[in-house]
Amino acid sequence: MVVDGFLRPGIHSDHLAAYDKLTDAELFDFVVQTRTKGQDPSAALGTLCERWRKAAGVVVRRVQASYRAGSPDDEGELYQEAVRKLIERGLDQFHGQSEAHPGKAASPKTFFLRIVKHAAIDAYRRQRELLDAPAKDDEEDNRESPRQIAYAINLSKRAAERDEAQSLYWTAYDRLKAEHPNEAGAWDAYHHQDLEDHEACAKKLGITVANSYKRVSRAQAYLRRYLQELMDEGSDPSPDSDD
Amino acid sequence: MSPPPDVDGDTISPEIQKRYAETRRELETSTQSTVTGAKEAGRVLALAGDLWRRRDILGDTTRDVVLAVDKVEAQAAQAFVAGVDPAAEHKKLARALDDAFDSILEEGEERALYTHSAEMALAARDALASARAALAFALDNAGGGAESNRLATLRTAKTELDDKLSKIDRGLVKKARCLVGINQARRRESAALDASERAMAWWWSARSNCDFLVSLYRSEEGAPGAQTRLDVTSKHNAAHLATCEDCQRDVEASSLAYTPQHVTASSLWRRQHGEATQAEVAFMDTHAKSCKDCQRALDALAQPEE
Repeated sequence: MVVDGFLRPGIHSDHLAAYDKLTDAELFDFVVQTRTKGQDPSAALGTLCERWRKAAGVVVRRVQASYRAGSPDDEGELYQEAVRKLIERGLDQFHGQSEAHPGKAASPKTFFLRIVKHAAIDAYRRQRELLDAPAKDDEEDNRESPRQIAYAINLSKRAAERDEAQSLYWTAYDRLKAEHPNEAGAWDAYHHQDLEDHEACAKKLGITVANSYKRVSRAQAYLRRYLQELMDEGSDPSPDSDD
Repeated sequence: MSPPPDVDGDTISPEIQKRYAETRRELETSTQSTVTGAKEAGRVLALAGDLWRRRDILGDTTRDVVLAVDKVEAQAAQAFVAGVDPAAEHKKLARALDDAFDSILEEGEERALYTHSAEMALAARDALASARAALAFALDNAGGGAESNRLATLRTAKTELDDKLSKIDRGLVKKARCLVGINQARRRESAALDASERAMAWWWSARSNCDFLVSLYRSEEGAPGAQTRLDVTSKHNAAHLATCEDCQRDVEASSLAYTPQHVTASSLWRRQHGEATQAEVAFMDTHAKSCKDCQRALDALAQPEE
C-alpha cells in the first residue's frame, strides 16, 4: 500500500516493484537525487515512508506514554504530519552523518522517526496548552474566522524564521559568555533562571544590586550587537568581504 | 536645546580650523629639507593628504601639497608603506569599534577614556587615508612623458597601500554601528572632509546620523518589558527610524523576543541533533527542574526511536 497522495498517474507499478528491491539507504539516496534533478520523488518517498509506518506508531505510543495522553487514532495523523515535515524541511536537513557517532553514516529511518517523535511531542504539548488555557466561548472556539486562518498561515510561515531566530539567540549568548562572562552570568540568572529581580540576582551572584542592574543592561546591549552582526553574516555569504 | 544630530555636523568647529592651521605649519617645518626616513615620510604624506582632502573648508591647498610631496623621497614613501602592518592596524581599528561601543555603556571618566581611545584609533585610520591621497596626488600631478623611477616607485607604493587598506578595513565597515556613541565627533570630522571623500572615510561617515541606535543599546531598565521600550518617541528618532533602512534592519535583527521562557520545539530538535550550544542545553536542564511541561518534553525526547 502506498501513502495517500503519493501514487500519481504515470507512476507504473513496475517502479514500485523496483523500489521494493532497494534498501532504505538506497531508496533515500534515490529520493534525494530525484529531487535534486527537479523531478517528483513522491512515489519513491511514499514507498520508503510506508516501510517506516509501523515503527512510527511505536514512537508515537512511547511519547503518548510519556504524556499519558493521546489515542490510537493520533498515530495516522502524526505519521502524515511527520511525512509532511520530512518533505518540507527534513530532506534538506538530513546530512547522512550520525550525531551520536561522528564519522558513521546516519540512518534515514532514524532521522524520520525523530521527526515523528518531535511531531508527537509538539502535538501533545499543544494539547496540554489548550487544556490548561482558560475556557473560551464555545462559538468563538469552533468558528475559524478568516482572521484566525490568516493568523495560522502566518504562524506556519514564520516557524522557520522563529527556529532560526532562536538558534541565533543562543549563538549570540555563547559569544557573550566567551567575551563578557560576568554579564552573561547576570543575564543567565536574570532571564534564563527566571529570577527577573535584581535583588535576587545580586544575591545569587554575590554582587550589589546596582552591579546586577549594570551587568544585565550591558549584557542586553552586547546581545543586541551580536545579533545584528550575526544577521550581517547571514546576509553576506562571505564574512571576510570588503563590505 | 541642542540641535538634532543630523545637522550639528554641518558646522565646522573652530577647533578643526585651528587644527589644520597647525597642520600647515607642521608640514612646512617638516619639509624644510628632503624627507628620507620612512616614519617622517609617512607623517608628511599624512599631513599633506589631510590638507588635500579638506580643500573645501581650507581653500586651495595645492601649493602646500605640491611643495610637501616633492620633498618626500620615493624610497622613503615606499619604506613607510612597507612598514604598515595590515593585521595590526585591523586589530587596532576593531578595538576602536569595541571601545566606541563600550563608551555607549559607560558613564563619566570611563566613557571619556573609551571615547578618547576610539577617536585616536579612527584618526590613525584617517591618517593612512590621507597618506594614500598624497601618493595619489603625486601620481596625478606628475605630468606627461616617460615615467621616472620616482613615479614608478610611488605607484608601487600606492598600489601596495591600497591593498593594505582594503585588508585593514575588511569586515569592519558593516560594524560601523558600534561607532554611534561618538557620532557627534564623527560628524564634525566628516563635515570637514570634501564631499567626494566622505563616503570613503567610513570611519567618520558610516552610520554617523544613526544616533537612534544609542537608545537601542542603552537600556534604562533591565526588565524584559523595557527591551522594546526604545526611544522612538523623540521627534528626531522617530523621523530617523522612519527613513533609515539600516536602523530598521538593526532594530529587527536585535530583537530579544527570543530570550527563552521555556524549552522550545526548535531547542529540542537542536539538542537531539547535537546542534544545541552548551548554554542552551544547560538552560533546558535548569529550566525543566521548575517546569513540568518542559521536563515532560525532555523525558519524551529521551525516548528511543528504534
